[in-house]
Amino acid sequence: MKKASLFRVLLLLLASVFLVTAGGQKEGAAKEEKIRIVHFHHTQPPFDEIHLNAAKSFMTKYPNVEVKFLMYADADLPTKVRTALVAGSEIDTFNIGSFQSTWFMENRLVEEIMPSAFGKQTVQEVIDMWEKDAIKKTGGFYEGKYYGLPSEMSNYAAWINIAHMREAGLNPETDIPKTWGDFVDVAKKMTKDEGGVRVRNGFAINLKASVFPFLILHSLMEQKGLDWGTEDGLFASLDTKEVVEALTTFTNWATKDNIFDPGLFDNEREGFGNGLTSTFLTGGAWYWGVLDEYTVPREDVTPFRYPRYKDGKDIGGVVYGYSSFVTKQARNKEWAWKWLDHFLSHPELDIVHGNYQPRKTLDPTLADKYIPNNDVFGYERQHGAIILASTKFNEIQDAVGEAVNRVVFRGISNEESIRILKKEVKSISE
Amino acid sequence: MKKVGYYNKLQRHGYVFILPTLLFFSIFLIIPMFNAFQLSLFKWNLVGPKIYVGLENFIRLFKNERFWNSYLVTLHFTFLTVIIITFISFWIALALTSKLLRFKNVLQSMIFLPVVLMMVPVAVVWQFMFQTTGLLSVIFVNVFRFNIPWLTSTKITPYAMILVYVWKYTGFYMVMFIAGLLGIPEVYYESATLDGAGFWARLIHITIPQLKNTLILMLVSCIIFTFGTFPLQYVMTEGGPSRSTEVLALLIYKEAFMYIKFGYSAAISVVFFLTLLIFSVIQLRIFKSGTT
Repeated sequence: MKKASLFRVLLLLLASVFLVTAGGQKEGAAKEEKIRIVHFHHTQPPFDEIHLNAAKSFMTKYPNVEVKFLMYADADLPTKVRTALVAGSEIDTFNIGSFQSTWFMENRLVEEIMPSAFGKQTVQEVIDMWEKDAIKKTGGFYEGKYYGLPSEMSNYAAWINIAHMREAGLNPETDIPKTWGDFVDVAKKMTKDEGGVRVRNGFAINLKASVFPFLILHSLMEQKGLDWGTEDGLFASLDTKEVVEALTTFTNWATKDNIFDPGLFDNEREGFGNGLTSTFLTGGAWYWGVLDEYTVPREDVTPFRYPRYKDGKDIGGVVYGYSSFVTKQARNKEWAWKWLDHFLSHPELDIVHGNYQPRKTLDPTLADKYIPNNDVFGYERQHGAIILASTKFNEIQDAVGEAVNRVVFRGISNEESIRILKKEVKSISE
Repeated sequence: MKKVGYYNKLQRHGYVFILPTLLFFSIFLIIPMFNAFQLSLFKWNLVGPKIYVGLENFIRLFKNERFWNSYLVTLHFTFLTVIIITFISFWIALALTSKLLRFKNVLQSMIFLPVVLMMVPVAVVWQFMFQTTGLLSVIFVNVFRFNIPWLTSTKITPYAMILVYVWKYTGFYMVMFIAGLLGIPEVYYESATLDGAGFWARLIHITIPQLKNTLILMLVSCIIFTFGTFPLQYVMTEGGPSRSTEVLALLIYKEAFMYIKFGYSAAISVVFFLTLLIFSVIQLRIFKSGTT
C-alpha cells in the first residue's frame, strides 16, 4: 500500500515536470520566431523614459523583433554586464561609460562596428555619422578599431551658486573664478560655519568614491603639462614636482583653505542641489536635468569654465562619455547593430534634458536652446582632458583617490603620499 | 534482529530527510569553498583562461601593505566588538532574568528589535546621524559643546563602526545568554544562598561555569560573523576614510568585482577562512581543556 502511494506520488511529479518543460518548449518555440535583443543600460532619470520609448518604437517599426531593455544603477552596471557575459546569459547590447569600456574591448567581448547594419559600406562611413573624434572620446575605440557608438558625450564644468555669491557680497558678473587662486578666495567667502559646525561648504567632492577626486586631479595634472591620458604617462609624472603641486592644490581645499569639510555630506551633486555647497567640479550639461530634482532653482546656479593655473595649460574638465556595444555572443548581430542605430538616432530627445549626443543629425541650435550656458560646455569640450584609457582604470583611480585621502584624513604630506602612490601604481602595473 | 532492521530503516529515512539540506550546503557552501581554494592558485580575470601561478597570489598578498592594513582593521574591529558585545549582552541577559526587574518582555523586545532590521538601511540611517549636521553631532554640540568627526577621522570612524555593530547585534547574543541562564537549575542558587554565597560568588562559581557551553557558542559565532562584516563598512564608508575601515571582506569584494582579480581575491578569502578556522580551533581547545 505504501509502495503504491509512493509510486503514485512519483508518477504525479514526473507528469508535472513533463508538462512544465513541454509548455516551456512550446513557449520557446513561439519566441524563436521573434528576434530577441536584450540591452543593458544604466538608469538615469529623466532619460529612462526616453530610452524605453526608443525600444517601443523599434518594436513597432519591426514587429518581428523584441527588445528587452534592462536598467541598473550606473555603479553596478559593469559588474552586471561582466557577470552576464561570463555566465553566457542573454546580453546582446549594452551601454557603458568610457572609464570601463577599455576592459571589454581588450578582452574581445564586443564586436567591431558592422557597416551593413547602417546601410553603409565601410566602418569610416559609420564613424562619419558622428562628430570628429567623438567615438574616441566616448570610449568606443581601442587599438585602431572601432567597437562602440556614442550615446552621450559629456564634460565636466565647474558649477557655482550665484545666490550664495550675492549673499557673500560677490558679483556673479565679475567674480566668477578664473584661476585656482580665485576659486579658493571665492569659495572661502561662501563657506559657512555656525557654532563651530560647518553648515555650508564652499566646495565639495565625494571622497568616498575615488573616481571623483581622480577626475578632478586628472584635469589639474593635465593643466600642469603632465600626461595622465596613458598609464605610462601617469607613472612617469609621479617623479615630477608638478604632480606634487597639483595634488597640493586639491588637498589644500580641505586641509589648509578650509573650504571643504567632508563630514557635511557625501554626494556633492546632491549637496549642491540642496544648497549645502556653493561650488562643485563634477557636473556635465546633464546636471541641469538632475538639478531639477532638488531644491536649488536653476536661476540660482551657473556653470563656468574650470579654473586654470596662471602659468598652466588651457585644459578644462575631463571629457568622457558612454558608448553602446554589441556583444560577441549576440545572437543576431546585424539586428543588434540596427537596434543601436535606432536607439542612438534621436539625439534631439536627449538634448531637451541636457544630454549631448554627438551625432551629426543633431541640430546644433538645439544644444544652445536646451543647454543653458552651452557656450561654457562647448568651449570646455574643445579643451577637455581626455580620460585615461586603461584596463586597470579602477585600481589606478582607487590608488589616486587614496593618495588624496591620505593627506586629507591622515595628515601625511603630499610628497610622501605621491611616493606611496608611485609604489602602488608600480605594483598595479606588474 | 527485527529491532536492528527497524533502526537501520529509521537511519536511512533520517538521511533522506537531511539530504535536501546536505545538497543545499554542498552546492552553495562546500563546492564554492573548494572552488575558491583552487582559484587562489590561478590568475583569472573572469573572461580569459585561468593561468596557473601556484602560490604567487599568496606571496603577493603577504607582501602587500593594503592586505595587512585590512587584516589589522578586521582584527581590531572583531576583537573589540566581540568583547563589548559579550560584556553588554551578558549583563543585559542577567538583568532580564532577574526577578527584580519589571517590564522584562518590553525591554527584551526593544533590545532585540535592531537584530531584525536589515543592515543596509541601518547603515544609511546611522550615516545620516553621524554627519556634521546629523542627530549625534547636534546632541554633542548642544550638550557637550564639541563635535566628533564620526566618519571623517581615521581614529574615530572605526569606533563608530563598532558602535553601530554592537547596537545592532547585542540583542541576538542577549537572547543566547538568556536561554543559557534559564537552563541553570534554580536549586544551585538556592543551595549557594543557604551556604551564604553573595551575588558575586554565585556569579563566579555557578553562573559563569554553567554558561560555558553558551559562551563557547556565543564567542565562536560572534567572532565568525563579526570577522566577516561587510555591508556596514560598504554602505557607510566604503572602507574610508583612507582605508581605516577597509575590512577583509570589503577588500575581497574590491579585488574581485572592481579590479577583476579573481585569483588574488580567492587567495585573500583562503587566508580569511584559515584565520577563522584557527580562531575556532583554539577557542574550542581552550574551553575543552578547561572542562577536563
